[in-house]
Amino acid sequence: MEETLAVEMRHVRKYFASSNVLAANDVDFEVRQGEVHALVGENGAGKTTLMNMLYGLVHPDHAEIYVYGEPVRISHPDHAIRLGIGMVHQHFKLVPSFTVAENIMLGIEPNQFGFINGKSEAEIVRELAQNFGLPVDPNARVSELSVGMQQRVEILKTLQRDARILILDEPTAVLTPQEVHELYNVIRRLADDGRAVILITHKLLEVKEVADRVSVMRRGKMIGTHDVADVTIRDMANMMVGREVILQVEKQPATPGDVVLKVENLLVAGMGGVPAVFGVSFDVRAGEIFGIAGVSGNGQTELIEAIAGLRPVDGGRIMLLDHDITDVNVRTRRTEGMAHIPEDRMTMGLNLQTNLDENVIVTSYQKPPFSSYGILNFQPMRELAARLAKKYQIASARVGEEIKTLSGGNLQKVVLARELEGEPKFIIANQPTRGVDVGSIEFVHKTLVEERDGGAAILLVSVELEEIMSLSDRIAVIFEGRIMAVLDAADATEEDLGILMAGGTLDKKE
Amino acid sequence: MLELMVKYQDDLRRTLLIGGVILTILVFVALPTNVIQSGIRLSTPFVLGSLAALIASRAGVLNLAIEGKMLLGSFIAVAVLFQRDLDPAVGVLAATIAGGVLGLIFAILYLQIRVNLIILALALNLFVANATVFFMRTEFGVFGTLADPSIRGLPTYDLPIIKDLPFIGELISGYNGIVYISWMMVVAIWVLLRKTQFGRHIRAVGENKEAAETAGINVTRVQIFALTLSGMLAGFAGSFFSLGILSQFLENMTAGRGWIALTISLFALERPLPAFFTSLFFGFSEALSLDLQNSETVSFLPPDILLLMPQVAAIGALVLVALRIRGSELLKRRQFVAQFSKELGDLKRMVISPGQD
Ligand SMILES: Nc1ncnc2c1ncn2[C@@H]1O[C@H](COP(=O)(O)OP(=O)(O)O)[C@@H](O)[C@H]1O
Ligand SMILES: [Mg+2]
Repeated sequence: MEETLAVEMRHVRKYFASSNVLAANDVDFEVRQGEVHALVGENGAGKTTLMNMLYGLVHPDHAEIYVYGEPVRISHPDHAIRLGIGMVHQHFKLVPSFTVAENIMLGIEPNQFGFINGKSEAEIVRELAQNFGLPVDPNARVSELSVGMQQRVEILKTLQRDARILILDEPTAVLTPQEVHELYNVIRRLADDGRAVILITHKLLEVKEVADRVSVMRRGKMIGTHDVADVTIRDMANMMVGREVILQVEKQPATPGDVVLKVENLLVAGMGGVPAVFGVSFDVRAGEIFGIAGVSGNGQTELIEAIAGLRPVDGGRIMLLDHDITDVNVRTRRTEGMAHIPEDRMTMGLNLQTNLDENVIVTSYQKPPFSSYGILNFQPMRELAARLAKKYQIASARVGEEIKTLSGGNLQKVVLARELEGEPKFIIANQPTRGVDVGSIEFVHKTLVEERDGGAAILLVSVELEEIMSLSDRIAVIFEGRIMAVLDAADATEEDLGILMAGGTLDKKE
Repeated sequence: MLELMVKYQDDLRRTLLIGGVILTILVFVALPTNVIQSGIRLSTPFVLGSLAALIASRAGVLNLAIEGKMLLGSFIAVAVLFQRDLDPAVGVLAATIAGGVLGLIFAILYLQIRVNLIILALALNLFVANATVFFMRTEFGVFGTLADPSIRGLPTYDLPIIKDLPFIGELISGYNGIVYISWMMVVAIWVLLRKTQFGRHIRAVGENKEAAETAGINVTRVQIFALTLSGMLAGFAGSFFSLGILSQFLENMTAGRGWIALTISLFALERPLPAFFTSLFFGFSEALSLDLQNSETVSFLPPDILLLMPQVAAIGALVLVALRIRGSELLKRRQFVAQFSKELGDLKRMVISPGQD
């Protein structure tokens, strides 16, 4: 006889109109009782959304969901809790000013005529903690607890509600190594008790260590489910990232010159008071492309924003051409020769509500010939826009029209045209070909190589491994906000990079 | 300034407390009894209004419509009594209910129909201000003032035993019912927030809505209840203007005191007891400026400036609140830097190898 599945989700579909993302595209997912089931995928793959639908926080457009074989429609977390589902979110959902006991008992307070019995509340929590071997101080204030302790409170919260199906959303993202180990033990124990544990993560080593089975998601699709014993880290990485055909880039060996950008021991805060960038050091020379590889969400965004001047730096130094620019504003960085092709052209790179002219001068409008005495001169703006449209082959950019109708590739060319126009000495290219058609990819790559050959120092960030490998002269791998290694592109193999990107080290294998 | 506030946070808190105590003593020693009494009376709508504001804020909704709800209360209290020869308590009750209904409507429009909070509150305030004028003209045929011999003010009560105490007896006895109830409400709201299940849900919703939601609490329902209660308190406060101080309704009778009540709640960090004492402060400054305007003796300050006293105090309070918030952000960042710079340094010392490259 086959055992009933703890969870079965069929044909789940969810479209977010506000961000125009299909976060779940006909997804199937199932979890057995007593197993640790890892759900992996890059940032934005739709893992959290899928689980939020199981927990009643997000409502699917379409789904068939069975919990212990019973068809259910979960409209509210309250309902999910009654079905025995508990979820520990990526960003903890605790009330900071409440005590541990108050948080664990929130919504199920022992009371008489609405008056809470604080004593028995603390007693219940103490007993619960003892039963599960997860000691906590019921009267400690949550805001004063370490992150690992807060997570324990979250887990106890679900256990107090008698969760048989436990969802943990990226539980180790914020933990120290010791805390991670403790958590693994807890997870194993809970599964051995017959609970189903769903572990969301994008760390593949972790999957190997604790999970029985693994399901991989990519861009809203379920790619497959496997026994962990049957797949290697490399296999999982391939399923996670997918392979995009990237055309080979023609380029000569680099002739690196002086150091242009120097980053020393950089420390940048991320969400929830945890470092997003932790002690990163590297330098980029004139005439080379320095690539940063890594699974997205490992500190790339914060690192780039710190270098570009969009995020405060909490420690360390950034030097541009021997000037300390750590605390310097964006305009000064730009006048000193920095250009920035941002990750998101729609919101950071361009103003879609205005025309090409204005978009190409937003970084230089205050200078002659575009303005005199604070008044804009339209003729030079128009001329520049026309010239750049020609040079960068920006298709169908009719003068004076809003640019929002342009395709992704053409929009990216507008960004490129503006950023590269002033002959920058240092160029940040963050995901320069994301969501761009093949023809434009080639154009972007060719342009970046030309800039390199012209003597610019280029910092390239991309989650497409092939793009990093075909463009870069040196490659750094970033993992959890740290640089794992810097390799010469000539020596770097896909395999090595894959291991480093998953948090492994190279010496281990030798 | 910010730097100093961060550095001396605890000292600052202590100074404010000691300053408050000294000020209170000064007030009681220096001011004539009648001014103190009038200050306590005038603080009553602030006490109730700030409780109304804080109960909404605690549930995570900044209630910018307190002013309108108060004004509605003042009007309804009188309108119900007009030529009906009813007990004034009926008017107070009607005002409370009207405030509650308006609070409920506000909650539903905001939470269920999702009207923008600021637009909604501004519309509501304007609507009440104009609707009261409109109904005064059409229903009662009067301009500016709605008064009638049938409208009686609330009677005052002496508290047994307490009234015979030396000195303080005459200060805390001899007011009308709303004043005493407002004191009880301070305690009641404190108990509600601290000791009851519903109060805890309100605090959870206000502090971390998602935490409450994932714990299975119906956030919208909690907020609707809180806003209705807030409306009732505001309506109740409003009736004090028209039946507690005078026995008539005047156009725009609340004159911005709802906004001051909101400021008080912010300044008191949304806690009932501090809100009570801050309200007293505003009540005294209003009483003082009234007294000095009327007094024959020449004061050392021109009366126009004295009239501004409550407003100046309100601005000062808001600036302090803003600085406090920015200060705590700064402090958080400092702590992050301190903690992780140290960890980084330790790592550096441990790894003696030259690192990458
Ligand atoms: N509430 C929302 N509104 C709009 N878009 C959303 C919302 N939640 C998630 N998304 C989008 O759906 C996609 C999947 O997100 P998510 O489930 O959080 O991914 P993951 O957990 O795998 O990192 C992302 O592109 C994200 O921007
Ligand atoms: Mg997620």
